[in-house]
Amino acid sequence: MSTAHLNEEQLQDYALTGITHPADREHLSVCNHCQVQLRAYQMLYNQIQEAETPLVDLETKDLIPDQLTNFNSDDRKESRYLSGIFFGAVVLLIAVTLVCWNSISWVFAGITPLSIIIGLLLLSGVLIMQLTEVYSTYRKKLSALYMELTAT
Amino acid sequence: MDGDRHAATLLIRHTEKLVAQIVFKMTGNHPDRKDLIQDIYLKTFRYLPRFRFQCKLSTWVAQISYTTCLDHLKKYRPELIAIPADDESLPGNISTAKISREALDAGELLSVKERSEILERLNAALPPVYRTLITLFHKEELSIEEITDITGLPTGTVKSYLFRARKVLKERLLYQYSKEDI
Repeated sequence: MSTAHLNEEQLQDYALTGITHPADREHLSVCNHCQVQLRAYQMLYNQIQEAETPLVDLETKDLIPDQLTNFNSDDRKESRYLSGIFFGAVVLLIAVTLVCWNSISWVFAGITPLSIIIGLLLLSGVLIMQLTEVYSTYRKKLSALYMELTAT
Repeated sequence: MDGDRHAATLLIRHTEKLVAQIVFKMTGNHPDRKDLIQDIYLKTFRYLPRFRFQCKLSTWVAQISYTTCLDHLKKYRPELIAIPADDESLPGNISTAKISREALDAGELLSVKERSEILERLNAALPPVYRTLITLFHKEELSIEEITDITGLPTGTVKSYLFRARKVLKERLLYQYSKEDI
């Protein structure tokens, strides 16, 4: 049987998880010093656990800022700007292609069916990757929110 | 707009206990406590669009609470992490031979309220950061990783602060019982 006292780290761990080492259990059964130390840690953990949670003496509605709608509308405004810019760029590209079709038609003249298929495959690949990314982000967000909601 | 308000209410209800624990442990009974909690939720709603789902929403709100309290405390320059020298030397003053296991067990007979008051007194000796870490780990049962996310402290530092805080609290608890036992 070990005569050396348990160190603080062992005492803290054993108070949390229980005594796992047989030699330490044997030592504890005869050592008053270690028993007292371990009991003190167990009492401390229990007291922390059972301590009352302080209350926020404020109404929930008082914690929601009046400008909540403004915060969100700023966010929506930003995403609307981005969509507008993207849509405008696509429309501009199509318009330029249609207007200048005669001068740029030579670009598409030499394209073979095989290269069209390869191009479409590459495009599909990129699209699938993008969709997978969007879907996994969506799942991640949903699972995070689900975890939050089930915890309430 | 109603949806936003409903979501905001849910968010507050889900996080208010954790926020209260952090604010109370960091600032104690500071009169600015209410303002601090309002400030925390104001920041939460303002920066919510920046939340990137890299951690739990409650962890993110706790992160805001901790940094807001830390900024607030820095104005008053209290000792945030240093344990007073007399507390560090406390173990040397206590002879465990004077304290029996039965004397500690008798402590269990005290009411929850009395035990809470003893804990409050013990906690008062700890710096705010230690108090908060102890509460987050033992009361809120957060993992070391979550505490690391909230406080921004390295994992090793969190473990070391927790170790020291527990040791100081245990020594003060024994000191308390040795006084009552004598």
